[in-house]
Amino acid sequence: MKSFLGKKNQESNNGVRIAPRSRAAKLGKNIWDNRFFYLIMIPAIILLLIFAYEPMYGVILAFKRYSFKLGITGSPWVGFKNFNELFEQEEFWNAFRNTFVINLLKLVVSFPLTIILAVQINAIRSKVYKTFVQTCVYLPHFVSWVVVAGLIFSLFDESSGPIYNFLLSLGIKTNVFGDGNQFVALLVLSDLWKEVGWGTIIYLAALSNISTEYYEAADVDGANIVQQFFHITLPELLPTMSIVLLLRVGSLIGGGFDQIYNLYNSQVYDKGDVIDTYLYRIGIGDGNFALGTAAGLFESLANLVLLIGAGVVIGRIKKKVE
Amino acid sequence: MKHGNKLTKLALLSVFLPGLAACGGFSNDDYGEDGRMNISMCGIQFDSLQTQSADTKLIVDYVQDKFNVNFDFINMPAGNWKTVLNTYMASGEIPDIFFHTRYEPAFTTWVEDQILFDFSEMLGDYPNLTKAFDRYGVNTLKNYFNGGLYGYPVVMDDQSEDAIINEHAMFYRRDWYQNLVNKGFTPTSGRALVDPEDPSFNYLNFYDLVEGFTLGDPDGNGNNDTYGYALPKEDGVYWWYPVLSMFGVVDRGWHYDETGQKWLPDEISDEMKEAVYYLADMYDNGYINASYATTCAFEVMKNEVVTGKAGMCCYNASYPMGQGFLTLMDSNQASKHDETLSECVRAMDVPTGTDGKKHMFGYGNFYGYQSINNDISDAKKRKILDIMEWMLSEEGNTIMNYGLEGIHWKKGASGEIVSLLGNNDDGYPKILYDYDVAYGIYYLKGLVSWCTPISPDIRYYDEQMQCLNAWSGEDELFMDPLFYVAPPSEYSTTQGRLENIKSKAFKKIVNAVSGETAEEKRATRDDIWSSYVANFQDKGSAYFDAMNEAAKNAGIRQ
Amino acid sequence: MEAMARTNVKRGKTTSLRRTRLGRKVGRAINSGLLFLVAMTMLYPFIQIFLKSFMTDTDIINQGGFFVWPNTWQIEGYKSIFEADSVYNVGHAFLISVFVTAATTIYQLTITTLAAYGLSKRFLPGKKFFYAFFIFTMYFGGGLIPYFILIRQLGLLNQIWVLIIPQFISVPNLLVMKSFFDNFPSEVIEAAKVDGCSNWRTFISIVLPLSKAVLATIALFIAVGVWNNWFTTMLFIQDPDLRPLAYVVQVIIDMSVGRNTQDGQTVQLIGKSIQYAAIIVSTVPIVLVYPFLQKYFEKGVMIGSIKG
Repeated sequence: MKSFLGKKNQESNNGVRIAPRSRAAKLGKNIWDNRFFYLIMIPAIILLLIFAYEPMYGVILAFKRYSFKLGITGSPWVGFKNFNELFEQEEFWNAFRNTFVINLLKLVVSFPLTIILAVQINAIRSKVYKTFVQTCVYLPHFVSWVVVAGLIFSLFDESSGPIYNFLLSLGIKTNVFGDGNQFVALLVLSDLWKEVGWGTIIYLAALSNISTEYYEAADVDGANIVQQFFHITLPELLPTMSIVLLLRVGSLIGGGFDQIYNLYNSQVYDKGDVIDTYLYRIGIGDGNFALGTAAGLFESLANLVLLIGAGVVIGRIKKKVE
Repeated sequence: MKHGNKLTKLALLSVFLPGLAACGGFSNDDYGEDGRMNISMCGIQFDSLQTQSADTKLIVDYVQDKFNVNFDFINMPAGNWKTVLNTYMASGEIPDIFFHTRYEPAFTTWVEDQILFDFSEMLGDYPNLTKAFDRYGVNTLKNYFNGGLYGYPVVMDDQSEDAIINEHAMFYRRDWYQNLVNKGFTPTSGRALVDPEDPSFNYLNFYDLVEGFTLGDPDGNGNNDTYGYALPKEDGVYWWYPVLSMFGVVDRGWHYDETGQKWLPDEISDEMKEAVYYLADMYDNGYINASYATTCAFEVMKNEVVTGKAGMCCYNASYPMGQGFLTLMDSNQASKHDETLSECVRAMDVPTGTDGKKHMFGYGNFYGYQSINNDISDAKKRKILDIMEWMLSEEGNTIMNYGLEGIHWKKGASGEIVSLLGNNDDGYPKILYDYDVAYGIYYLKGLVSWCTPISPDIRYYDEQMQCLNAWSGEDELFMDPLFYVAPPSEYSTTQGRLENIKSKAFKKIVNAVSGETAEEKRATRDDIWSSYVANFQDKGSAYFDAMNEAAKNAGIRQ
Repeated sequence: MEAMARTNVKRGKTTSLRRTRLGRKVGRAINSGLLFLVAMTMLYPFIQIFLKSFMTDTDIINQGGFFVWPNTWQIEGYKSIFEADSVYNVGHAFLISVFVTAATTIYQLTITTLAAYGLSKRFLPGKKFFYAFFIFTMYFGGGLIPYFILIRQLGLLNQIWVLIIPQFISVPNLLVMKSFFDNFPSEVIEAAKVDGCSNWRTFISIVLPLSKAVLATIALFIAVGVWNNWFTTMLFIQDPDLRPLAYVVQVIIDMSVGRNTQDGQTVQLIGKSIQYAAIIVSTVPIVLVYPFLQKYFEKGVMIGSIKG
């Protein structure tokens, strides 16, 4: 029944010429027959309309001077004044650059390491040990940044912090919360610590599709581990890698709020302030809502452009590969 | 495209949303179902009022019954209070009365949008409130608030006649000092140590003391595990003020430049430079905490002294904060000692500054402001003013400070207040602000004053008085002459930006580690300083002119 | 093929192959060793916080090494956060958290599953539009202020429902689930149809039981997100009796390492042991629950995300 309906639909889509009236009627019938599927989407759609779409009118604030008396809709329009003000601020461009740099560093560090870790985990023979390792490496993903910040503060505490003291005994006096570069390193490494395990899941899934026979055959042929990695494992992982890369590139501008907000301080604004923390500070902290909204809108647009751009590039690469 | 569809949906939605709003239980009415007036209040850490102890509830209920009102407490958590306040303000959910500080960048917008009630409209009927405002001068305050009495300055003291009081104190380890003296510790400067409570104690002796606390093993445990002076990271460089004061300068302060015939910010003066270098030198030698700019929150700083790591810090001297500090000090294992507290922790004098005079600038007596929503009914405004007026009266003051007669206290033979709350762990009579009694009332009282009385009954009475008095001698305190001059509203973001430039540069100078020798470091610091001054002047020159103009209009001349 | 490989191995008693096998063994041992280090790196911060939560502050400060052990075990930190009349009242907050997490998980899982199943229907007219309708909200929002106004208008301010009702969907979760249903074997559904099952019956008694992996995974995602959320509470909940654990923990951590504590308005000294106790209390439920669901992760996530 279902496939029958589907076929019909497909035919009409494929351009079989049907008279307009009967086409509309068919569409109507098609919709009616599928009413169950529309009905079950209704709760989500209504809630989304209320909680996500309704507040969207707020973006007009980006083009207004916010008046506490008149509210969002009543506030006077000011055109692109907020954007001009935003673009004039060094702090904004600083945050913009930092967002990009920090995300790029995170990507460069965690992308290969996640794959290596996945391959390593996949190579474990003992099921019990594998589960143990997986349990451990997934764990940090489930802990909030508030708590992770608490952990980090304790690790780098200047009197009782084990990592701080360990590095000190090696002659390295760390200042991870005060030195911009060290802070960025902290962001990259703590992000790696928290998410590397979780990131392996998607690769493990792909790896589980590779039959062990390939490896055994390769063994027989005398291929070493590195050769096996490049000739068997990597090709199998390529589709997954491209998707992960696409998603990561699509979010290069933005994000990181929870992590940075819980760890940073004014000393490291130079290197550690990102768009989200910046717009939170000026928008909510300083009560400059119009400017904050403008920054947020700019971020959304920049991200969208990146996402589409990355999508196009990856699509082309895929085509070439095929 | 599908865009059209979405717009249609949005349009449809906007039609049915007003209906939704009607379903909500939100109401703007002044009166609740029980016929009482609802008053919403927004303040820092109202948690303590909401998680009411039985005694807190008694007093809150007493006030509510007396004025036939219901309070609706809106809590601002200490760490994120601006987020909560700004969100409420911007969403049209302006609390009837709310706490803020004058430095909110949004303040000028609030004034322009006329959402703040001008107290002067009704002040005539309220003698106690008038008196409270008069302490600062109504005109001065109007000037400060861009035109009207848009906020009630919440005083820190007990409304004594003193114009200015500084309720912080520099707590220092008296026992450590004694140890150093007994050991015959000699600072590298070759000077002898001077008693921090001796009037001759000056900024050089301060430096020696900090050095001794770091290098002289003041706790006598044989380990080099202490340092001199703990600084917190909060509020830019505000908490540097005890050091800045020794050089006669003030954070965000102004001085009159005779040669240029105009007001200039202290932040770029040579004295400020010397003050920052003085701290930088301490930093280089490890006399201040390396975490001063990063992780050392105000509470962490207190921890440093309580646990016996640091020898001094600047902290609130007033009860109950000061007492909380001393109690913790006493109960902490690391700093357990046989001496009495007065031999262990005390507040030091104001050190004599570079100009031979004693200066101390913390704040102008008040910490923040209570503002009233201008859009509420006159009846409600009057109700709020009634409550504030009552809290400033003798009856209100007594109830907010000591609780209810017959329940929390009774009159003694000579009319004095005798606690009925039993004794605390130390065997001394409890008062209202002991943690297990009605600590939260402190925050309700914060509507008019952050001060709490110090009872001679408390164990630490003498120490407490010593701390409070240490920095409160009138001639030792000074004000930034332009403290009450408000900048024109268009410069509110400039102010914030300059603040950032300054804090960043100062901390950078202190942290400057490049260079091996002192000379090389000095050269690095000079570079940072000069580029900072140029940047500060570049970004702020228009604002400086505006402040000069404002000072002129306010009639303030050198 | 397999048989061939086996015989190869069996036959391969040449030295070179033996060397390879030995090499493999050594390689595996090194690999296992490395992974043990990685696993310990993940656990170490938790273990050290756990131990330190039982130590006195003095003990904590004096033991700055890599391996710590309490000189004397004490539970003052736990005691002070569990005290009923303390501002924290962690015990009560814990119960609130459990309720909010359970309710939100069921509610959000239901709505997400329904929407994902609807969206996964092949050849559904307007499907692309609905897809875009959901995706759009991932990239575009109106900001905090209009959202706050909305919550107020709906009468949700200061109601426990504000922590539940608006948390009806997370679009990334929806996408994971949709891809799972996309790949659902259509023969199974066809068979049910032939047996005369209605759409609803098919969904409830055929599709859902076969989707346990993805349901369990998404349920965990939702639960963890809710469990860790403090921001919503800060803005929308004023009644201290309605505050979940995440908020309380945030306040405790914030006070002791805080960014911005206002001018020393905090009064109680939050010792390290208190802070660490709070961290442990908020983390333990996650540590206890998630290993049981872990076996579903790979199945659940892989199916969803690969096609994502």
